[in-house]
Amino acid sequence: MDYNTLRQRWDALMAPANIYDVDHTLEPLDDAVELARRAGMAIPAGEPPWTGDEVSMRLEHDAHTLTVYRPSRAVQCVDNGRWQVDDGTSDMRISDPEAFDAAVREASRLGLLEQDDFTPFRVTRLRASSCIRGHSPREPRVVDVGVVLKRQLDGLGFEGQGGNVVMYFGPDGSLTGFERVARRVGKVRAAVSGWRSLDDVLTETEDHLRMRRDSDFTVAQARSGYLELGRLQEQAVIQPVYVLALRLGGRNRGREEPERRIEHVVPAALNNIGPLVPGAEPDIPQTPRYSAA
Amino acid sequence: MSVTYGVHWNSAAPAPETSCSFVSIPVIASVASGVVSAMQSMGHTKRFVRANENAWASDYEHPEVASTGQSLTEDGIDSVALMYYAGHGLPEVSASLASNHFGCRAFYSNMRLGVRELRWLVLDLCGGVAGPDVSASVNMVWSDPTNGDSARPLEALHVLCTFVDESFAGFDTGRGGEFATFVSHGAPVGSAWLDAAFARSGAQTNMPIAIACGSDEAEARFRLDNGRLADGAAGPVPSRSMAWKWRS
Repeated sequence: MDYNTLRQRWDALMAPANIYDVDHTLEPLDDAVELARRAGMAIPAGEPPWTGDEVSMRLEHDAHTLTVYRPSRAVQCVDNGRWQVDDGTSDMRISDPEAFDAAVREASRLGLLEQDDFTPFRVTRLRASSCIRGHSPREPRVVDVGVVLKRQLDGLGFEGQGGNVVMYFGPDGSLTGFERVARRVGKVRAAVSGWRSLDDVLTETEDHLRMRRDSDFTVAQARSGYLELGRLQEQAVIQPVYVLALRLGGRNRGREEPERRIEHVVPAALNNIGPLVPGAEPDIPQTPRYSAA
Repeated sequence: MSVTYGVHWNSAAPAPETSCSFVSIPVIASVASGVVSAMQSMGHTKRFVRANENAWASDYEHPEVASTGQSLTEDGIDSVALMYYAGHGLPEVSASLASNHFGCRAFYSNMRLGVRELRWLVLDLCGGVAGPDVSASVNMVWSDPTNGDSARPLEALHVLCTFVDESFAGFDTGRGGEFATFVSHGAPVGSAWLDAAFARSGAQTNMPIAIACGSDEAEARFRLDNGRLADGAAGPVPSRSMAWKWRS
């Protein structure tokens, strides 16, 4: 997409939005036990036997594992005997609309959607195959379907590994697992005072990647939305971002190398709270080689 | 269950005078950083953590196939139980490194994986397997590397994790740390990779794939679904069959 086309589309990405605090004060564990029971885990009355460490709390019962991830308060529940497991024969035939319907129905039954607004986003399929050495592989079979429901807030969608509910179904169409990575939105810290200009965003992107637009990368698409990070990442605020889908290489890419595409995210509000992404080069001590051969 | 591990990453420009011409992606270092941090906090034993000019193609290649290969040495990938590489790849051909030690490409055809210590290999790169015929690609690319060597014919690593076609780097840098955390908590290795590496948002969709070896298809399938870090002490496994699954 050339600069003028991008410029024409840029203003349409702006919308009334806020910067929200993430509510860390809510203790999810009691709710999580009830959620597990609704999901079929027959957890006896009394103090549940949680195990855990600094990353997560886990409750294991009847081949199910319920995990609460501390950094995000995300919840995941899986049937270890069936989630992402291949029985060797099944081949699921389910359309996307059927899968979305099932996901919304099950997520609603479990109370995963709470007061938030989620919309169908993507149906994924887990395919399996095998072969004996020297023989042709068997035809792939679909052994699991994972449906992503994306959160919406203020009319904006969510970007990132969080801000979603994922529902997994096995060959018989029943639920084999689910996760909710949707931090509880607290009070408004500030209304967005204005949206950053295209030039400002491109300059920040060039500086972060240490690349120049056109010669090193091109912008294939631009979107806006609220950013929510994954299960193991701390996040203090929910705020709007621009997501730039970039094609790397530009004129300098060798013919043999595959094109690399990345998505880069930058804060969208003039009064944003940054940074959003890790520093480009984290300081990781390296091991000297044992041999200089 | 503590295991030995190694981490390589390539976030820099290619070394001069090599055949590689990939674009440097600094954010790849954040993926590797997540692996290192999680493996350390989970009590695993670090053997090496190396980047860019310090990670060599010869570390991946087996000496019986490539005379310069040193996969069996202390610096080689077959000296650790779990190896994680984050960087570039030439589809169905090689991992591409930002170093020049007998070239920049670690050719898959020159690897013989898991004949010593290696049990699980993550190639977080583009084109470890290529579509659209994923199964044909798995069979073509990964049969030889799981073929064993003269000391251990038809024996190999337990599970290989990689991507079909492009692996999208970007602001989702958490997959390495999630994978390391999940397997440390006892999740099956293949399942942990599929869970950590599939993209929940964006127009660009990662297609993670896990490939397991076994004496027959049923055993490979069982290992793919159930193989955990705790199983690594059993040593190399028979590789007369492979089973794989991928999310798309």
